[in-house]
Amino acid sequence: MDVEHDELIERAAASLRSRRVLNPRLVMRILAAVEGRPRRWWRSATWPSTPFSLTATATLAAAGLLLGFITREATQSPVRDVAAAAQPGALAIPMLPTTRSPAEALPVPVQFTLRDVRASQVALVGDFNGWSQTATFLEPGAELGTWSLTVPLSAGRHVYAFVVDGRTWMTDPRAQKARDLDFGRENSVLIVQAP
Amino acid sequence: MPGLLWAIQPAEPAPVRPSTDIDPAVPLRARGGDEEAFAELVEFFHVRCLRYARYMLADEEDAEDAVQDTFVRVYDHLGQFRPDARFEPWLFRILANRCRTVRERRRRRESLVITGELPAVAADAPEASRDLMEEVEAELEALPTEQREAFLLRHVEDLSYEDMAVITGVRLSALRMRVKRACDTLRTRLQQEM
Repeated sequence: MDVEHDELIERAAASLRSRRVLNPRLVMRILAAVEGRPRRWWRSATWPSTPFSLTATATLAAAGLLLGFITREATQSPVRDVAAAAQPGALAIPMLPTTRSPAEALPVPVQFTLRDVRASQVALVGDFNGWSQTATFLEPGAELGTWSLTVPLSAGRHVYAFVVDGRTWMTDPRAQKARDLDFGRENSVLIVQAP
Repeated sequence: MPGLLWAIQPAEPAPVRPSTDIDPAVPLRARGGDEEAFAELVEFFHVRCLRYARYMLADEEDAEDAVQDTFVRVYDHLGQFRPDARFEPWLFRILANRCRTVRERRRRRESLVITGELPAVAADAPEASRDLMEEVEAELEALPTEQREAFLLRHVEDLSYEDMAVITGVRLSALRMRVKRACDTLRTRLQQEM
């Protein structure tokens, strides 16, 4: 006998499914509850729809230097940092600049780097770009398999991941992990220091 | 979102056979900030969510709170929903966790109460007068929580074991065992009742 699909079990399941559960007030309650909530970043973000270019990255970095936002750690060569931390397989190294600016509202440039010799495309996804796989791409470096990108992030906690070749989600093995039981996926956590 | 509220009529509810998932474009539209698409998600899934929560929590008010909390969390975290994933197991994972949280909170609260009245169900009609639905619900409620959860997801919500693994974070083999034990227990008890 099929232990799961005998007649009695089917009748029991059908009986449970037939229970009246419609509650029109509940739908209105839910919609009212979310209607009053502040608009979330994923609905109001003005993240660029095209990938950052190296030129834009360099411009951001230069602007940061001019304004004195970026400390010595943040101005290290991305390639040198990737090479120093190179390990077999893929490796991601977020650099967390410490800043000394009174302009707290300004975003802080943060560099993301990745080493993955098999990747042909690397997207950066996170709470800062709506987890979009098509909005933000790392740029290939001079050394084979190195990828990097600098993005301006607001101070605070950010959760992110890399998506390699549009398929493989990967965390940063050297960053803190964040696992939300509700959403079932591990991501990496980045703390950007307030200026 | 008044545009969708018109559709909510206190009509005769039809039993829901959850054999189909929603159009994958709807959660993506909601993810992109489309309010009506979010309302469509609520409309489509809330009956199943409420039914699952009621069977898991055995309390109407707690169930409604859990479902509302689930959809608020969905609304707040739609950005984390992967476009290449299916919405249904993602939603039920959140709901299952909400139900566990409510049960745990209730267990802690009840453990503080030394004396109190018995719940109303204890004074229900005599066994002989209960119909099949009441029998099944009573036996379902008597199952261990993990078995009840697995049985509901598999047999009432018609989800695959793969989806159940996403929802519960439990291995397929363990889920199959839970469902089997739930079925064995229900079958034995229901046969005795009949």
